[in-house]
Order: sequence, then C-alpha cells, then structure tokens
Amino acid sequence: MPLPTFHVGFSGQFDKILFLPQAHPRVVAWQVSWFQKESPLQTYIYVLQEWLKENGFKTGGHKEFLPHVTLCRAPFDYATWKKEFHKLPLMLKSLHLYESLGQLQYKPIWSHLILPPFEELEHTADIAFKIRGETVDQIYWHALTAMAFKMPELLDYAIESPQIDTVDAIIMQLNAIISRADTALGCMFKAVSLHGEIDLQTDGTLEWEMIVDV
Amino acid sequence: MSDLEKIAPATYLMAKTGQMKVPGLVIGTEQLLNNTEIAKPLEQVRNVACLPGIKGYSIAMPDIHWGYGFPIGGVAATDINTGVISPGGVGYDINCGVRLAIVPELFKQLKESQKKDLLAKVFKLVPSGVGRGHKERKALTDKDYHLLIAQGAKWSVDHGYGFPIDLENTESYGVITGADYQAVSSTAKERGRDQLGSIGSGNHFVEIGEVQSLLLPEIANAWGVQEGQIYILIHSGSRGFGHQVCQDTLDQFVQRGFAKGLPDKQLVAAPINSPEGKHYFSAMAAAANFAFNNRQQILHYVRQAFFEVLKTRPEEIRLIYDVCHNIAKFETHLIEGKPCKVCVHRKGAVRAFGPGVEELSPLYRQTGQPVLVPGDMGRASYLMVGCQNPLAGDSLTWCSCCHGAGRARSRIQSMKAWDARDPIQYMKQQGVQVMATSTRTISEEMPDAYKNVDEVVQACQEAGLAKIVARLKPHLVVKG
Repeated sequence: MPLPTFHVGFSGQFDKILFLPQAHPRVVAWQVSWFQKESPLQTYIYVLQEWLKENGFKTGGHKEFLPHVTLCRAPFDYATWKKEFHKLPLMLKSLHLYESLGQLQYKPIWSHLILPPFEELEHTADIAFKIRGETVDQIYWHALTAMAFKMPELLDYAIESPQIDTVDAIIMQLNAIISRADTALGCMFKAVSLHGEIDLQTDGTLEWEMIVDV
Repeated sequence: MSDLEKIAPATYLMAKTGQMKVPGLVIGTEQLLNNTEIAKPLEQVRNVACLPGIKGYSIAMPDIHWGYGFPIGGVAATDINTGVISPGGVGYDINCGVRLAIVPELFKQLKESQKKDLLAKVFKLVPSGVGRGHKERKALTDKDYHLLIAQGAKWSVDHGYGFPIDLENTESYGVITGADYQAVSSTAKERGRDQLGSIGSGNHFVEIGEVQSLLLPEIANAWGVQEGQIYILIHSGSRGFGHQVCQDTLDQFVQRGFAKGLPDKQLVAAPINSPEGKHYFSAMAAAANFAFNNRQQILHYVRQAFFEVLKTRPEEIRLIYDVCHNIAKFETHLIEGKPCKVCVHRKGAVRAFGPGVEELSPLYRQTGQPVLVPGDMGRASYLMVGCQNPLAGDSLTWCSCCHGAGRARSRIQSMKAWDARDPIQYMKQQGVQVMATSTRTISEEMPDAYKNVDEVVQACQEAGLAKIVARLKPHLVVKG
C-alpha cells in the first residue's frame, strides 16, 4: 500500500448538506471542505486509486472524489434535515480502507494513523492546545479548527485566504476572528495569547502551543 | 519550594538570579505552595522581575496560577520615569473586579419560594453567558461612550442606575482619570456597544448569600454589616470592550518591537512615558471606566430584582465596596524614605489600603478599605479590611492582597470529573441554587475546581496584607 506523504492530519468543515445521489437521493450526507485548497489528501487519493487499479481492484473509474459523511438513509425528511444543518468543524487523524461487499457490508482492509491536527492540553485558568501542521499556513487552519470545536460559529468569521507566515500573524488573524464573532454574537474566547513559537519537530512537522484566554 | 526562603509569616523570598532585576516575593502558606502547579507561575514571577524599571519585588499572591506574561495573582510596580507599562500585567479583562452590597433583610427569613423567584429574576434581568447583553436596550452611542469613558460610573448613576453614594464606595470613586475616547479603537467600541450591564461568561457571576460570621465585629458594625444579612456579590469586568483594548495594544507593542529582550513575549511592555505607553494607559483607563459602569448597572438590575420579588427598596441595598483586580494605577508609595510615584500592576490582585489613606472616603479612611475575596460558589467568599499604608513604607506588596481562590483544576479536568453527575443537583444538595445559560459553565466552575479560599485569605492575613472581617456563604448563584 502506498503510504501518504503527509504526517499530520487535516482540518476542514462540514459546509453543506447533500442528498445523494442527486438524481434519486437515498442518503443524507454532509459535504466536507478542507481548509487547505490543494490538499495533499486529494493527491494521495489519486495515487491510491491508481495503485488499486494496478492491483486488480475495481475502483469505479476516475470519478471526482466527493468528501462527505453519510448520516442517514432513506426515508428522511428533506426539510428538517436542511433546516437543522449548521456548519461544523472536523479533523482527520486516521485513514481506513474498506472493501464494499454490497448489501451495506464493508470489510476493513487497512488503517493508517496520522498525527491529529490538534489536541487539547491541560491549563488551569485558560484553554490550551497543541497545534500541529506541516506548514505555517496549516498551523493557522488547525488552530482555528481547534477553537471551532469549542465554538463552531467562529468559522463563519474567518476570511478565505489570510496572509499567514509567522506565529504573530496567526495570532493576529485568530484574534480578528474572535473580535468579529464577539461583536456579532458573542464569543466564549477573549483572545489568543502571545504565547509560544512554532517549533520544528524531529519528524519535520511543526508544533505550536496555543493558549486561549477565556 | 526549595528556591523560596521564608522571611516572614506566610512570606517567601525568591532570590534574584539571572536577568531578574529584583527578587521575587511569594505570599502563601507552605501547604498552598507545595502544590505542584506552582512551578509555571513561579517562572512567570521570575520573568516579571526582568521588566525594565521594576521596583521592590515581583510579587505573587497566594491564589497564584499560570496566566500569560504575569501570573494571575501577580503584582509589580514600575518607576514612572524609567519603567514600563505592560498590558500583560493588567490582563485582557481590564478592571475585572468585584462589588459587594448588603441587603437589610436576614437571609434565613427568605422562604424557599422567594429564593427561587429571586434567583430566576436576577437571571432574567442580568444578561449572562457568552455575548449576552441587553438586546432590548438601545446600544451605546458614540456620545454615550465619550461620557462614560470620561466620567466612569457617575455616568450610569446620572442615568438612573444606582445612587451617588455608590460612587463613594467604589475604588477610585468609580473613575480612573486619564481615560481617552480617542485612544480606543472602533472595533473595541463595536464589541462593547450592547454589553454594558451584563455579566459575561467564564467565572463571572452574581452571588447572593448570607453573612455567615463576623470575625472583626467592630469593623463590620462600622460598615453596617451584620451577621445573617443578605449580601450580593458581583464579579464582572469590561467585557469585549476591554478585551479588544488589550488586544489592540498587544498587537501594536509587538509590531513596534517592544517584546525584544524580554524572557517572555507576553510581557511585552512600552516605556510609561512613551507615546505608546501613554496611549495604552489612556485606553486602559477607558476600559476600566467601562467596567465600573458595567458593575454599577448590574447592581441596579439586582436591586430591581429584589424590589420585584421582596419589595426591598433599591436605596436600602447599600454598596459596601467595589474593587478592581485587573488594573494598572499610578500610586504614590514611600520608597527609601521618599514618596515616589509608581505604576502598580495588579493582575488578579486587589488594592488593600489601610486606615489613614487620604484617597479613601471618610469612613474607610478610619477603618481601612474593604477587600473583597470571592471563593467558589460552594464554600465561601470573604470580606476583609486592608491594613497597609502606601506612605508608611513598610508594605512589601504595594498594599495589595489576593483576589479570589484561584483555580486548582483545568476546565478539562473539571468537565471530566462532573461528566456523569448532575452538578446543579449536587449544588442544590449543598444548599446552593445555581443558574447559568450553559450546564458546561457550571461543571467548569464547581467548587472543587478552585483552591480553598479559607487557606488563601488566612495566608493574606498571616502576611499582614489584610484582616478577615466576615465570612460570606453563597446560596443563590447566577453564573456567566
């Protein structure tokens, strides 16, 4: 099995409700959008599909991969599902390959763990996270996701392509999001503190200890 | 504990090492200091001791815990000519503080139905929780901001929230001079527009309970505090307005390079006399005055709740005192026999002036000022009296005292501990009724998340910072 080239998982959000397949919907699903535009995950999926084909597996052709999570099968109430949908953050920290046997039966074939994009740490007065990434840009998105796990609405106040090249830029951007969210609807966070630097780990990944004042 | 030397009752010296400009001073008992969580905050005490222009000691109160830059429970004074002013020494929640009011009725005379109604009424009238301000009220206009920033709590009194006597019983008479509307960003003003008169979230609260016991009856009598009376304790600050002022300043100071050479970037500070230092002080004072107004208005709504449920007239509910516990103030202290003006940073610490201090109102000039120390919602809060005089020259802590119990457990630990239990029911069994917009908040704020406030205040009393006047027992709590 080809292994992924990335060591740290990804973060994104469930940003849309889907009824699939579009022509004759049989399931409700939430669409996944990864925060990183050109995600190495997409590249890995193509590599994996090619490897499976070379090894005699049927892969259903080169259909564009639609990242999603299936939530329920028919019958379902369209209106209620649409009404109750809210954007939620997600993170990827492991990969699993299943073989579809038909009749809703799946056989697990292979698993691969990757480093979670973030973990919550102990902190007496505030909230602290260990944020991981492979680029400074990723550190920013993973930090935002960590906070969004506590308050999903924060994602609505993030701008699409912020200029991020240092930890100070990350902190300023996150605090700008907090300001916008607090003004609009109130925010459980006061601010991201000026704590810590982004450290290079021995495996080439980056880590930052983020402390958020609450 | 091995690098601390006991030099006086409940007072430990941390020797000057490395880049420290002054020694550290830690107030606490051996039991409190043997807590393993003290390592990081003590490192912060060392870092604070490196600030340019720091005088005396880098001080830690017995409720010390890990903050950013300064520890929470940290005090430091800097020379106004050669020293710096640090937003980390004040905190994001500028002029977070506490106010105590006394109700003439006895708590034990309240019927259960009245207690329930009172709690529900306070919960309804005083917005609490994330973002919640008074949505039905008009938001603050720029003209409102101009005036409340300049006038402090007097602005709220003039608009019908409370009484002029409340100002006499507020630290600095409810206003920090030097506040400047122009020093505050439009983002800060937008954040605070509909938040005035609301508690906020986290560990903020309105607490109603009983004056359980008097330990200094003569002082209590002088203040009109009697055993058994109902008390009201309010803990809140400058809300998003103050948070943004702090954030704007930190961004500016970092960009100007003021963090260079400091052991911790979060201690970033500007020379007091620099344009940036002056700008921060003016903005900080503006936020402090917002907070004074905030607590003044919250008390108004609590008085309203008492009137609607118990028919207690608002003027019968007397404000005892209002203290700041996140602030930087210019104060005159006797240093080496000379009165010197210093900038005293108190982050999670309270001023504790004793008898004879000119700044205090006539009553408190006789007795010393009240010092308010909320504990946790299960055990107790305390009313103390300050006993240090800045012009006596013998205070090691710039006449400061602790501000609360201090967290002992992280929020994760607290949530895990209460995950499978009903915290509201548990508190009810302990005689405390709690309301909050989120059960999560209650789990995070359970009594076992905090140090024992009895030990914290005992340490302050032993160290001569303040004396215990009364023990207060909470019974009805609205959490933020």
